[in-house]
Amino acid sequence: MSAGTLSLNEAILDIEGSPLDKRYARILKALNHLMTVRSYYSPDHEQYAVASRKACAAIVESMGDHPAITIEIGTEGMMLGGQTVEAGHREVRQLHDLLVPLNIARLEIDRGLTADDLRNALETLHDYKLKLGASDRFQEISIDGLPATVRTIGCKLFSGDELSSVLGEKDHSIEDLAHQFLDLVGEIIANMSLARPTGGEDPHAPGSHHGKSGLDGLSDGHLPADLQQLAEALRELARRESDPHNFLALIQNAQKALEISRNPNSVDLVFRLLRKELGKEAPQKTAPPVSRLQDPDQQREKIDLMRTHLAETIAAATRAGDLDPASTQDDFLGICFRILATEPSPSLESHLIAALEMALGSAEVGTEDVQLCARWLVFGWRKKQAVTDRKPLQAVLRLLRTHHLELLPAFWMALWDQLEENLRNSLWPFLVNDILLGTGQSPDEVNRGLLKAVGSVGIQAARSSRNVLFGLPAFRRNQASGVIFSLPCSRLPVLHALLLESPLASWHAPRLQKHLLRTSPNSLPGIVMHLLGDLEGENSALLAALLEEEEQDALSDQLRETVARLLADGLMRLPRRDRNQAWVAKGLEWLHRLDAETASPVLKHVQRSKWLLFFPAWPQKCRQVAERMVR
Amino acid sequence: MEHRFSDLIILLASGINQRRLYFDDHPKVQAFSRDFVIQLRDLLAGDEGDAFSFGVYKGKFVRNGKYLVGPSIAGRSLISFAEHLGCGGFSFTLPLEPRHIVTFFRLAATLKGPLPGLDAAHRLFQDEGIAHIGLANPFIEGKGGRLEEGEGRSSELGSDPVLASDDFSSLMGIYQALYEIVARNNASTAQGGAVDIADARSSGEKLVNATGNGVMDVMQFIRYPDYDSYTIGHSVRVGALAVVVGRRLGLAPEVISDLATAGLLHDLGKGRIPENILFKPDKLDSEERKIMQSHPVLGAEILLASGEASEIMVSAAWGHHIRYDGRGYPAMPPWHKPGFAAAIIHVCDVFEALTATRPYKKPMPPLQAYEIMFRDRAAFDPRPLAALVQALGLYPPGSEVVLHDGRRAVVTHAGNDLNNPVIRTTHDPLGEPLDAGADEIIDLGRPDSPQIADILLIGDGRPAVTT
Repeated sequence: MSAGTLSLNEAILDIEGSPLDKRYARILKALNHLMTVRSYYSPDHEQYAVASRKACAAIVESMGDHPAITIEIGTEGMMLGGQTVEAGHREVRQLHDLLVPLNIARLEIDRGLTADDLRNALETLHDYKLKLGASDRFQEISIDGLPATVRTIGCKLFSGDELSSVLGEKDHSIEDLAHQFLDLVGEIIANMSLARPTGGEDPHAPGSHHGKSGLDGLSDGHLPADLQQLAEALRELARRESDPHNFLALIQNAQKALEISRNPNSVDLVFRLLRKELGKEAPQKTAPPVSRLQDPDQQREKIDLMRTHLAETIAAATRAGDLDPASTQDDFLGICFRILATEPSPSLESHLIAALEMALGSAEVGTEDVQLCARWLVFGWRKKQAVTDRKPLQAVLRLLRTHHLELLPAFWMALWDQLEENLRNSLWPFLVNDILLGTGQSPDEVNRGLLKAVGSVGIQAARSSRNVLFGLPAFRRNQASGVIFSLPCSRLPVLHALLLESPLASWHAPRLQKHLLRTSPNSLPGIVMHLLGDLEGENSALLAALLEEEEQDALSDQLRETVARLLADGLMRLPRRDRNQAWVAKGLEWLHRLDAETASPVLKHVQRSKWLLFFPAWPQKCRQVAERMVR
Repeated sequence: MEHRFSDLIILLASGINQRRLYFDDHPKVQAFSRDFVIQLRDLLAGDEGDAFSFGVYKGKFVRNGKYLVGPSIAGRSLISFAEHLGCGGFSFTLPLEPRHIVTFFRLAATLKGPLPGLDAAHRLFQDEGIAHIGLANPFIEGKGGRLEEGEGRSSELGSDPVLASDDFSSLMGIYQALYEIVARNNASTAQGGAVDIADARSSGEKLVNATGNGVMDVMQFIRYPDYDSYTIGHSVRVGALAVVVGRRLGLAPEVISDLATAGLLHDLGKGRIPENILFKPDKLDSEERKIMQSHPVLGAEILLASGEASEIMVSAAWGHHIRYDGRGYPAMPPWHKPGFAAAIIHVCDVFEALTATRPYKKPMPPLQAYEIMFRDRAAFDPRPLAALVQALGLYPPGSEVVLHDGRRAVVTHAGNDLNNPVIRTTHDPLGEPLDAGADEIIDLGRPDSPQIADILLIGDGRPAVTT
């Protein structure tokens, strides 16, 4: 909420409370703004140049068809277009303070004004003001060097030399001068009374058209002697009162007092009172102007409205409940993640990680907090549609593993649920890593949930993250959590296939073998496992390939052929005592399914083969399968 | 005119602070010295005599018998210099040159301890070639509260008992320390240096401890303008307001202390914003606005990088421009809610900005500020907003008001009714100050009590209550 914006739209009121004509208001604001900018920057600064261009444009546009505008500087303030704005008004004060000490009564600006003219004019006037400040005697001001489009007309004042010849060397106090003035005024009045012509207007009576008030009439060298003396006394007053406005105020009030009362004593009073008020020793007038006092009813109305607003706010505060201390902690966490997502400098990053450590290391951390962490991470990745920096994730995982292992599954589930497929694929290695490292005493269903998540990623995505996966901490150990065997192998074929070729293979392979034979003896991999006997060497690769390709529901021709031959050879060589095992019949089915041509001789052999010439060499179940397949 | 004196004093103090960071020929130091001379010439070209002078007494600036509170808060470095020199004030005359001021800055910035006496100070100035800067004799306390300046001249300090009290002096010391800390941290931030969180935290604690439970204690400093350094004073005032709101909300003392520090440091990021944008008088274009709006992020990063900032401080620096309805900056996801610290600082920040004096605007009465804030209620967490209004009342303690019978008064504390505080009259209907004993304490909530007609604002061309 910029106060500057408020002031641009705010009307300037004249001394009578009426809004100033918008054009003049705009001109005053433009000049005031330019002078403000000038106070910030040096005259050759670019900002000042920009501001002067804008101000010039505003002034020229506001002039419209008028060839020039005139600003008159008076006692009460600055006058434009017949309206007077108070000298102390904030849009006028700077200009007023600049022009008054230079005794400028009028400033004229032509429509042909340029930004350079405006700047030059301001600088010229400021220079004169500085020179004036540095001088030690009263002197006549004549402003030279202004551009043609800017003119000033000054109040005529007089140098010390001229006056000293009139009044001599004696230094009169202002009170003395006031008395001299009074004496002269008294004499003038007395003389006027004596000299009043019969009928018609008294040409010398104050207020008459002939007897002009103001300086002009009094400076005329053709006035009677007493008036001339009065004029000289006034000039002496002018010399003593260097501020023309104070002087003018003195004279105007004295004249008014004389006109009203025709009593010189009233003029004395005016001089004394004015002197007291304008003098340095006088106390500041502190009573506020009447216009500032607000109507009591209006004030009450405003207060009532405030009370209503406040009551509504208090009600809303009550509904919102007490301030939650945790809200700042959550906020802080979010800020750390937000900054981490911007890939900060290494030193800032280390501080952020330390901050996260502080936050997540606390004993009060719960499921909601880790869910919030997950939410923040997803927010950052989603903005970039990629996991561009894994460090925040790794930091969280490390911290949870160190301080809150039991919350790790909740974190992963919260994370996984919010991610799209492409982001899940990027995080899959880290999930696998954590599962292999172990998740503490998590309930089975939690583990199953995590394993389901692992199983949801396709072979291509998993394969592409192989290098990342094998570089993670779980693969630097020689064993891992057995939780991966809590689901049938068919639910995690890709994982097992990768593990068979990973640094954990020596730990994984025998366990996979047992797992397959126990849980999936009749699956193709199970059957193959039966026949292979172990997962050494090439066997491992074969099983891995089988697991992967089966995941895709389509074995390649090569693998099909290889497996079929393996099955055919293996089944044919199977010792008689082993043919009763449950998997054997299934194996024959698989063989036929894989390659009927290769299967045919085997099936026939199973059908016909005899032991001791009479007895079937194969169990009935196998013979039935063979017969069915052959048929 | 009073503010021009304040400006000049603050300019001197700021120049000393710059010289502490840089060297004599640095453009910033040179610029301050030039600015001072130009403004001095401007001032003396008016009706202000031949010299610009002010006194230093008990850690405060004094001029024409009045304490200058705003400059005293902002000008600790200059006050320290005067104390080291053993002088009672300074006097600057023309034709002073920028080089004299640069030397003045250098001496002030490098003088480590007190000189043996004023004579030594005079000799030092002479040896360093400083001309047109006079050193006044130290003040001597006389009878009846009068101060004598060692040459027979005397002045009577403002009759406000609050300002003359020792409590005020100790609070002034705390505020000066707060000011210095903010100024120092801002300058350090601008140079990419470290931030002194420990010092800020310590001063925040002192503020909370020193101000007890009195809103008046805190609020009496809220009113004083410091035009040139409003960015610094702003942070100090926001910290003070945060204490007021925190107390009203019944937060734990250590949390309030953290909030005070958070207020001091909430705009730290502005130290990294280029000055031509930070102080641009015109409206900012979109690019400049983007840069300006990065200051909360920068501030939070600076605090985090210090390794010492609390969660409250970081949260406040980051979120003090985020509205309660989630709009604002930096942009956060819709499900995020700013923490309570950020919400409190946000309320205090806006209120301070509306009601404080600035070079480009007059201060707004609290009532009007409330009006604006209530109109946009979605912007503010209702809890700190309600707490602020309830703590300060519609006429905050320290406010100067005009009664309907024309008398002037100062609000001493909130009454039972929000719009009828307890006041102490200070001036009669004609504007004449009341003598001691002639003033009256009035509870405006009582029947037949006068009502408040208007509120006066410091910086609006009117003198403060201290006169």
